Amino acid sequence: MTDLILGVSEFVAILNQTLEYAYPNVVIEGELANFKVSKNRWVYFDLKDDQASVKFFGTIYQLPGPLEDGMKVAVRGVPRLHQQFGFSVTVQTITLVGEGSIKKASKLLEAKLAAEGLFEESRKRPLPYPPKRIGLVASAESAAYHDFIKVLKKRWGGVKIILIDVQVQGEIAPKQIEQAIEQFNQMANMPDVLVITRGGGSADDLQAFSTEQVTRAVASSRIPTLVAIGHEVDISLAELAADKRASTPSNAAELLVPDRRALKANLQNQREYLDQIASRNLSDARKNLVARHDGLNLGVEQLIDRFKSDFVLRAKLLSAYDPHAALARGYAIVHKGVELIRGGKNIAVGDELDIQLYEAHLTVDVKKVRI
Amino acid sequence: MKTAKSYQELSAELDGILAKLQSPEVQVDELSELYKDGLKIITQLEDHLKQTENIIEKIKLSAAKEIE
Repeated sequence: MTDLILGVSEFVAILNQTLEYAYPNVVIEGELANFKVSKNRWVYFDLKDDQASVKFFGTIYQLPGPLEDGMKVAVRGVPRLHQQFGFSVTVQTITLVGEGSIKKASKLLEAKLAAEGLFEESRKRPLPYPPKRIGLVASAESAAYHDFIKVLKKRWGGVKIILIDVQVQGEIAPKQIEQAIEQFNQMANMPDVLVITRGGGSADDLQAFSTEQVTRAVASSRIPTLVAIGHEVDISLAELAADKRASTPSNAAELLVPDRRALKANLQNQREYLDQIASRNLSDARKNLVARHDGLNLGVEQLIDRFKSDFVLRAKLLSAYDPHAALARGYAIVHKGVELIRGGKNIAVGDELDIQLYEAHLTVDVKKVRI
Repeated sequence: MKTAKSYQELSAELDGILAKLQSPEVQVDELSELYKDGLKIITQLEDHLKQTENIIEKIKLSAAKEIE
């Protein structure tokens, strides 16, 4: 049998056709090596294990965050034999694998984004309290979604909730979460607040919320954001970038709206307090009025007494000048004709005098005058 | 049409009358008029208080119905 003889280009074309048919894309997991970024755009690296190494090529837009040699990743890509540069896999997505790699990548990304100021306290905006419309980014099948809705409705009514159902873990989660945030931000009638939430899980499950893609989407949202990832220890980067974070989906509902039962009880207390204040004020006003009525009566009585005393005093003073009182004491009033006689100088012997005594009236002739 | 005087205005007038009664310059001729005016104001103040109590009662009843 004759061997099939192919030209080099022919061979490359046939091999690529075969690869395209058999492996349109593959996911390869391994340790990063020789990682480098060229011209701030192109990414080159190898994935290796104990025995082999494969070359990869991609762009910075596919990176989940800063990467370093030694991290374990799973890369989805298209294998091909390049005409000039040999065999490589063209990257479609890169996902971190294993808690160690995830944590390390998260720390690197956190440092990078913190340096840009994405987590600054001064960027945090207050959330409307309570909101009228909530944009919710969650998985509709998850317990987190149901917990959030249940607690929200129990506490407060009349809130409109608009859900965009997304994957909250896995390869496509970061893209879907980013697109959901973008979609809410482009609505003509935007919600008052965006809630991004999921339940707890492993580092692998939660890594979408520590990707650069999702973190930047949360940080750049024009709508205030509340991120609630239910887990105990580590805080995701999306939570750091959010305006507010909650520890669980239920806690998110508690932070967003007041509890109407507590408010009602508080209102009842305030009503009772208001009743008490009103009653006390009226009672005080009444007492004050009674006191002033008494004051009026007392004032008038005292004045009348004062006027009376004054009158009696003056009457006594007046009576002291009463001529009849002097007559009663033995004095007499003497007239010579119509002239009232005080001294004796114009009295002569033989004059007729008119003498008024207390009980009698005398007409006398003067016999002798002694001065 | 004259607007009715407020509780504060009437209260101030009563205080004025009481102050006059305590002053040494008050004359006998003024006394009966002052006393008459004082009693009239006190009656008006009592009417004000009564009206306020009634209004508050009505508000309490209507607020209680709304909450139910």
